[in-house]
Amino acid sequence: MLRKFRPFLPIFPLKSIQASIAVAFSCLILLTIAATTFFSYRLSAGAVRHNSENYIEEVIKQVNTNIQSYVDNMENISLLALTNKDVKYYISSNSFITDEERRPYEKRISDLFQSILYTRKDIASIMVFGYNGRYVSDRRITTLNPNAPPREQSWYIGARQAGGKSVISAPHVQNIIKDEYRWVVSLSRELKNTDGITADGIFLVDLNLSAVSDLLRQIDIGKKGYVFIVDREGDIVYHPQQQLIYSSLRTERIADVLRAPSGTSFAVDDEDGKRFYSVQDTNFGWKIVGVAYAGDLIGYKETLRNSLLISLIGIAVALLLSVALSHRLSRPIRNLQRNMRLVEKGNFEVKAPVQQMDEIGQLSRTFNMMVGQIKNLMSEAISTQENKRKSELALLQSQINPHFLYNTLDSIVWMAEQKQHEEVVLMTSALARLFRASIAKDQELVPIRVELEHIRSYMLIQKMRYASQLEYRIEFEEGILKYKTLKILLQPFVENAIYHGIRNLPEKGTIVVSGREQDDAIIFEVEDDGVGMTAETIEKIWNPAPVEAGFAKGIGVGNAHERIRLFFGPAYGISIRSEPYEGTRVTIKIPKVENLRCAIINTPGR
Amino acid sequence: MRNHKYAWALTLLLAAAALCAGLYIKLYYSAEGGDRSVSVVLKSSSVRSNFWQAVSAGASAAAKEAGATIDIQGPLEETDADTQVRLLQDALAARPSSVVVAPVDDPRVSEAVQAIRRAGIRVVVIDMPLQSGTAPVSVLNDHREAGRQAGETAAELTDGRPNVAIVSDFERSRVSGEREAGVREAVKAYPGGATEIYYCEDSEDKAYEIMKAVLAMPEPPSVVVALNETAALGAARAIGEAGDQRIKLIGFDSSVYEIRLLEDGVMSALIVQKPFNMGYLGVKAALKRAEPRGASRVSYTDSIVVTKSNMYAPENQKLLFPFDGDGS
Repeated sequence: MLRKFRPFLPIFPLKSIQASIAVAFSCLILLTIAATTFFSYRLSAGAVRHNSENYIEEVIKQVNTNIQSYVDNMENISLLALTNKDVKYYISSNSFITDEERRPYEKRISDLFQSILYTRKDIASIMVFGYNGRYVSDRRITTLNPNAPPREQSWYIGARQAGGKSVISAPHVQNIIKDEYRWVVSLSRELKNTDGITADGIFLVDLNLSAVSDLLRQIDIGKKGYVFIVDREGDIVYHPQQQLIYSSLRTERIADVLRAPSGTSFAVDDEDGKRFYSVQDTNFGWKIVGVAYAGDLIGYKETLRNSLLISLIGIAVALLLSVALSHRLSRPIRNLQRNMRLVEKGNFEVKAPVQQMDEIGQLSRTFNMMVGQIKNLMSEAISTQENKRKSELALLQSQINPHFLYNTLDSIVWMAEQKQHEEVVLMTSALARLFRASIAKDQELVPIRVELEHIRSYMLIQKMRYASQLEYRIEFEEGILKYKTLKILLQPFVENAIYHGIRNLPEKGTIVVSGREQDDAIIFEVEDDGVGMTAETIEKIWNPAPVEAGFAKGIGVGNAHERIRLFFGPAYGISIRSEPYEGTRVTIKIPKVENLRCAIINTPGR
Repeated sequence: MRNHKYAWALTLLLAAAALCAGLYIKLYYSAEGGDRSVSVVLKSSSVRSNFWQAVSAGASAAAKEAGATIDIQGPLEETDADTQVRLLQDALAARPSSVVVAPVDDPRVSEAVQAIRRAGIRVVVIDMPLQSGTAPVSVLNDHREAGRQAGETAAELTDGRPNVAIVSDFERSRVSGEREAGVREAVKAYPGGATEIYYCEDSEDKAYEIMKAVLAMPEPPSVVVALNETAALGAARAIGEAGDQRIKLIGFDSSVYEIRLLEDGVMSALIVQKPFNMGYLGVKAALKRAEPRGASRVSYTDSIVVTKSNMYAPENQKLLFPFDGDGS
């Protein structure tokens, strides 16, 4: 599994569940926050845009109102002049009025204009030009620029053409007064005669351009924002960088502005940056346009900064939370892991606490059960090993039973003294064979042939010792000789039969040792017609009383039985049938085993 | 194991922080010009000098457009090299991102500019090139081209037979020298074109005397080109007194007096520079990170020919009558 996942995360192989959980949570949370931030950004950007548009619109509306009020003011002054009787008389083409008579009018008009000029700092000059060639201004002495006759000026011509309506000029240099070149915005208007039809002259009022430019300069629409004015035809009336536009170093979105209705705004995003154009129409034909740069607007930045800050905090909290959560989730696992490590070290007394009934709780419980089972198996294995060692030790002792050896040698000596040479040879060679059979290497299993040889030699020796008391028969089927059996399996039983069954018998006893096949098993039988045993005695044999030092030299039946079962499994073993004064029959059942390998495979205690 | 998981949390946290920081930077500094600053040292900061006030307005306009901060300084007198050197040293001490300078014709000024360049500050020279040393990026007034325009205008006024008297100030003046060369170049191209040079040493009276002498010649020249204002005013006085309408006068730059002469018809044409554009382009070049490969390091602002008939055209009014509300 791990191998499969490697290629995906080759740099950070996740080594702990907690890390995996933390990463999974973090990814999930980051993704969610990223998505929310993105959408809220979009939303707030939209809201901010809307707000800033409203703000600019409001500002431009203010500008519009102010400029409008300047123009209205000029308009009012023009109305004043229009309705002024003195002005009418003064410029009337009536030839009956002499110059002398006109003089006081001129003074009165000039005084009037002067008083207006005193109250209005934004007005540069007020003048009236009669078609009769007279003119009067707000000054006592007015010297006109000889090179700039009024009737050639565009405001003059415009007013004549407009026929009584007021005309607003673009900002221009007013040069009609000698040695004065002032930037003004002119309002000019044709003055009608008393009859209201014929015209008598042109009225001119000039507004200082600085009044307008100061107003526009004071507007705060960001560091780079500015205001400009275009007229109906799209010609620029005022622009802070008018010279650059004339020199084609700069372009302005005139076409877009002309298309935009009053009170609306539009956004432009080009190489100069993202900005909003807000357009307002004045009622005298100018369009006032405010331009604000998106990056400049304070609200815009503030909102975005806040939303970013919030998402940053959110991410930090989320990450901490995911670490904490993963820590909490993986704690039981880590506890279990700690316990497992203890078990690894060999401590089987560990018991994992089962805190909750979820998967991990179940895992803990199973773990506990497993540890218990292992513990049992371990103790079982230990006792088994112990038993085996004990029986092996006993077996070893039985092989070289010093008593038996001493007796046998004693018999040989005795026979030698009797000069029974043949018997000596027979017995000695039997003893030799016996030992050869019993010391057959370290192998636990020997062919039945060897076992047969061993028993034969043993019986021969015993027969020669107890010739008067012992009769024996050995009946092994030829077919079983190739199978294997535990080493020295039969000798203890034969020994028992001789020492406990036959020896105490007044007459001769017979021992029959037989081996035969029965289905998949091999059955050995050691039968005697000796004294036999009671059921209690048999019981005693199976469960011998704790160590009686002298007596326990031989191999207990129980041990032998255990040895077989350990080696071949519980299906095999020993059974004893005995009747007092009738005899005893010990039946030994082992499986057919042809070679060692098989035996080992079958070994585990099933 | 413990370290491992914290490393993970830390990595993620750092990644998130980096992301946010990146967004911050993008939000704050892409729209603005960063903290770029320009120091502008002009030849003159006198409020009475329309030309330099227009340069200053143009420079401010460019700085505002780029969102950079700008500091404009200059001596009161156009020839005050000592003050300009001091101002340049101040600019160097303030360590702005770039410096725009309209150098006074003096080797010490060149040296001060080179010192600023050596400090790794971007320098743009406007108006006139440095007297010595290698030229950094420059936005210059093309005085030779202006002279050529004067010469062409002279030819137009005389139906292609210009006989021109040039009234200059000093022989060593570089501006006048360039203008003179331009006039000669243009006039030479016409058959019968002739030029004669006179120096008035920046004195109106001397120009008047010279002009009187010239007009008294048996065959007076048909066009007088006065290379600066004093020369133009002196010459105009002489021509006005003579009342000879055949003699055409062509002047340079614009002042109220020259404009009046133009209105009066004594002055036939004025060659007017575009100082606002020069200031604007100078600062704009200064705010650029570097020149595009292959781009010229020197650019010129043009001049226009203003006559009585076009002097009140909207685009010319702005040049002839500087308005202090400009560029704000």
